[in-house]
Amino acid sequence: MKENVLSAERKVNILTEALPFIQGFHGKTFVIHCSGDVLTDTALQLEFGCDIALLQSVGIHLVIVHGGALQITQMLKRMGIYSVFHNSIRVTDAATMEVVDMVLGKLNQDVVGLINQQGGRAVGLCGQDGLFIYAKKLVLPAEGEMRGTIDLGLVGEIERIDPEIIKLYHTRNFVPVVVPIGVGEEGESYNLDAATVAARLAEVLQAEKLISLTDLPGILDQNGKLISSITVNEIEGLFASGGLSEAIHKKIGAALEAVRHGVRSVHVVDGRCPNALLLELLTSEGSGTLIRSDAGPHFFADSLRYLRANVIEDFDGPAFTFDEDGPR
Amino acid sequence: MNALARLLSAEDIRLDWDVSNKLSLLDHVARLFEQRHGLSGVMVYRSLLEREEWGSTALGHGVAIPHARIPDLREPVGALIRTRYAIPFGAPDEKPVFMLVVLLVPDHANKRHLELLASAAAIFSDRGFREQFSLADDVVGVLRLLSEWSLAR
Repeated sequence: MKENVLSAERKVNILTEALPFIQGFHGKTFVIHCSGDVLTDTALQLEFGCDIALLQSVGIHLVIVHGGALQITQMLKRMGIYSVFHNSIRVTDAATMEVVDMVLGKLNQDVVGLINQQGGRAVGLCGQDGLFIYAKKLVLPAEGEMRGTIDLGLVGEIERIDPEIIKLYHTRNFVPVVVPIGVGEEGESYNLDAATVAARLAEVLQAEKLISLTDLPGILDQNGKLISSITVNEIEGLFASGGLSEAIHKKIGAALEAVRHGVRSVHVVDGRCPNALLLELLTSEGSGTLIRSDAGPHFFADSLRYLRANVIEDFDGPAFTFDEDGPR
Repeated sequence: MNALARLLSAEDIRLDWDVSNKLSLLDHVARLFEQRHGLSGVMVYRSLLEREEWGSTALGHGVAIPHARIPDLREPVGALIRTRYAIPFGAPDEKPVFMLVVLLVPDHANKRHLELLASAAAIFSDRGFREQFSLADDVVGVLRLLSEWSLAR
């Protein structure tokens, strides 16, 4: 008997343990942002398809938004085109936009295929479809002492998202897989940032969760240890005190805004690890970092307030300082 | 030995309790304290629930430390519970809870109260301890696990 074959008893135990988690998720909406680079490995692709199909089958309303920067760059290179970047944003002229459209379209169909092959029901969608993502040209002010603005070409920013089509697909149990391209006033296509599309979509849908599958293990504390759960204010505090890099802070910026605007939680999960998504969502220990609103419980602060409120004699204050972050 | 280990004995530990929700759990716990220590079950239940209103006492990773100040209680008392199925508890990581340390403390014993909370939180912050506790077969095993746990890890 192979070591990695689970006994029937073990399988039943796993399912029994997962059940309370699953019951909590039924009917909820999760938006998953998948950065392009975590979709490149065949084995990971298979796992991803399985995970999505499984989550869909337990009644979660999923939306996938995928990036494709890596694949776009590779294709441009093959065609002898080299992109200029400003602050990590790819300047997108008309020729580049054609390539972006083509690469993201192919990637989109691949992702849809991955999910459908594993028993899910996915459908591809882009901002043009049903006029779902309205965008306008992104204008960046010039840097340093230069005046005027930087022309990024067909790079857009989101004006408005109309979630009607997503909701329609959810009523019939489809998983929309979204290409981050928006449509402008004159019908022109704009290249959008996938993470931002995912975050804004999560806000508009008032999703329960926004899950970011990236190449980060999660958010690490100053000692390099994984933080399991943290609030928005705590993360901003960590950044302010130098415990979080500018690059990562920028990467999760849209996600933090989503929490501020009503998305219940954001999960930063390492998309390079097989089953990281399921481990994070369906086990007690989790596998990435959960970012939540400051409105939730804070055990030590709440306990101190509780004790102070009920005191008859004067309370000097704690003899101990608590690690405010609690268990890890 | 840690503060929590000093507080608990075999009769204070329950494994594989079959409760499905938070209120039912607190109700069972209140009855346990009534049985063990002659406290008013209703009063214990209400006090524990009141603390939950200040914010869920779940800490994440399936752990919760419900606690309350009880008038007329002479010495702190506690219970260590493992439920059969994980229960939604309003945890900061949104995960359901199945490991609980419940602490009742006299009205004036602030320092002792905090010491016990800190002890319980420190022990259950240890992933290794959580894993062993969730797999422990019986109360004897749990007691040993608890008494052997020390801060020097």
